[in-house]
Amino acid sequence: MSDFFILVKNNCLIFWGSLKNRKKGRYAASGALMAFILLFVGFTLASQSVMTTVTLAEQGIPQLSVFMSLLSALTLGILFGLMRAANAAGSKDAELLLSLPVKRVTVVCSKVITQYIFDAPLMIMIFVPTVISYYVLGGGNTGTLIRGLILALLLPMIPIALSYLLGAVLAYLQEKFKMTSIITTGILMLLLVGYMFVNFQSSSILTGATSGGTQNALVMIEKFAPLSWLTHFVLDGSILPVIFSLIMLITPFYLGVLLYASAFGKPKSGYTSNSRILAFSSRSPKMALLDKEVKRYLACSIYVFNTAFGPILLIVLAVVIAVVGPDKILEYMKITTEVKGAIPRDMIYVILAGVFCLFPSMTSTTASSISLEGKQLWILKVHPVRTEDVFWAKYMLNVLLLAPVSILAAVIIGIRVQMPPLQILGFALVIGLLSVLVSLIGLIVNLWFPRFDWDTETTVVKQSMSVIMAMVFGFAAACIPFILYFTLLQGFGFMGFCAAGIVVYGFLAAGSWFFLKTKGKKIFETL
Amino acid sequence: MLVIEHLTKTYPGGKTAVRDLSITVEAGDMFGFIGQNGAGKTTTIKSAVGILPFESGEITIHGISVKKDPVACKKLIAYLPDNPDLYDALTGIQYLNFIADIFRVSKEDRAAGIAKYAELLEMSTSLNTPVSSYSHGMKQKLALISAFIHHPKLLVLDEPFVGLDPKAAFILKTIMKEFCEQGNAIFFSTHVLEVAEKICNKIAIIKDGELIACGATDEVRGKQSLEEVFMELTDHE
Repeated sequence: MSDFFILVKNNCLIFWGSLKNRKKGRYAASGALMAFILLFVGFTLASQSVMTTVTLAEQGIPQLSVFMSLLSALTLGILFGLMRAANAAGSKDAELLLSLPVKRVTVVCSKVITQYIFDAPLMIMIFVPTVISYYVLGGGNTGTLIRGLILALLLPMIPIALSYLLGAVLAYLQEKFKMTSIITTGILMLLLVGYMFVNFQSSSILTGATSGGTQNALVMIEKFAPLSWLTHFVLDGSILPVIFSLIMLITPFYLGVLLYASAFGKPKSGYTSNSRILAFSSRSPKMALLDKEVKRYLACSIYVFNTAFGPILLIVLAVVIAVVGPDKILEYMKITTEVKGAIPRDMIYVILAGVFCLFPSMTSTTASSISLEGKQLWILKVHPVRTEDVFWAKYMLNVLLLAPVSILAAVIIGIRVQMPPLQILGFALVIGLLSVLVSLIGLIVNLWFPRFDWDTETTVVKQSMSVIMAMVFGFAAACIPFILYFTLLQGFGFMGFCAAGIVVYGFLAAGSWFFLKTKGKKIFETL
Repeated sequence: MLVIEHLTKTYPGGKTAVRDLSITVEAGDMFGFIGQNGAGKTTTIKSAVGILPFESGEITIHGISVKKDPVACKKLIAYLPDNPDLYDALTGIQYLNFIADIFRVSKEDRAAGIAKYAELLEMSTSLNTPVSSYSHGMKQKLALISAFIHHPKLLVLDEPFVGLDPKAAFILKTIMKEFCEQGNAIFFSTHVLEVAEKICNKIAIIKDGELIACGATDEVRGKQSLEEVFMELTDHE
């Protein structure tokens, strides 16, 4: 076997080993759940692609399915690239690999290919079903099928290029400035918001295009260069789009890999200071722990990126509804006045509260906070701090991140939709208590599924079992009062929903805290 | 100061790392703990400082049980691991402030302590730099400063000389001697037998989780060098 394949195999084995080397029972069950989620996501993406092709073929514009599928695949790819950018430069095993009798270029290529292996499946799962269904249902020929399959294999180059290029820029900034993580997070957030805005705009244009007839739809595609080049690459294989597409795919990839290769193995030179002026601060141990959690949080771009987006979206949504008005939103959602009139006002409040509860339910810094201690866990264990205080600091960070924003959003919405003060208070209490519960659930789940052998923080923050489980449990928690309202409490109106939320979340939060103080404490001590 | 009685520690996989081990470290002792790789040194140390729970035996610090009141025990000790992974997200001074906060060291005390030890270990100009850019030796030095600023009674060190430059190693030895002369105690593991022989008044040798020699340094080595005794004891099956 060549050096290259040995290295790629080793990279895959490391990834597999990090999944496999766990306590058997708990991880077998969670591994099965993870596999199920992946299969479910894959199946959903693929069937959605096929359904879109079928619908557009019926409308006489099957070509648009290729365009839309490319858009979806790239949306996901760019998101991958953005999220990985903060950790893209460098590799923890670079020194070891470069000390081996293997060419540098082989080592770098093995890393790039491994990344490709991890990025490709999801993008392929979106795009290939469209290519095949276009070939079967949309009048495609063998040429479109082959070109489509080739493009499916080339698409994952985009997230790789993006992460390496952006990673190089961020690494440069990290050398020059002190508040690197905040700068990195800020840049990534801005890019993501900008990207979402562009994506939203293009979706609205596309919706208009599909309702405007075949000709209109095909004309619209042309306005979306360079995406239109990729579409033509598949549809007709004209020479110019093919050349442009290849340039677009290969040039940034080549530059990105070049930058990655030049930085690979070089010692990371962070910001340094020679100042002798020292700032001495004094706090209680509890506050010192909380302060440490906040600093740890802000120092990890991917952590902030992954968890601050929910609260930001929540407050943006609340402000948008407050400014535009709920009627406009209903209009946008194509809910007619008749339909709106038929729904009781209290039920609208419950639906609104349910939607708002989804945001905090899926934001949990605690789900990865114990894992993120990594090799530094000894510091918490060896110093005279109570385990309860460690837990308190960890969940308090999430509560501080979520509760004020959630309560503020509830108050804004409550006032805007003219809820009585008691209902606003009830809504604020429900969403505030949910924030506390989600924080505690995250911590419990992370105690059950800790992961300390990570290479990059991304592994823990984005790809760990505890984060997925915390999201599932958080989502389930958000649904409880909603389900109770629709099954038992409709007669009690919105206050019935609030009362159910307050009682259920209060009870579950108290139970979770009791669990943490007893069993959780013991689990932490054995970690 | 530190009393370990009949300590047995078995890992979940079934491997017994330490078996029926008993050691007593008294005030003023500089106690060297030596053994081959995998002999059980780090397991013993981690059990003593409350990181690892253990099945049987008892460990007390100043008469307080590590099992029953770990927080009270930890208030009396400072521990330095062999590979100090510190919080990369913090600067050196932020880390020291964090440790001082945990031990409730007053602002004045911490300022004086940090200034003294940072100067001694030549870290004064690096404390405003993030820990992430420290070398292994610098992290070791920062961990040492953090160990001394809260005036512990017992220092537990795992391979404290690894990664230190010769000057820093010399300074550390001096600080360790002074620390013990003040009535405190140090329990440390090392592979550097010459150092152990030179600075320790008591030594224990561990092999395959069991204590094979323990006592005053002169008694343990007799007329031989510590290296010869160690080789003899550990080679003997």
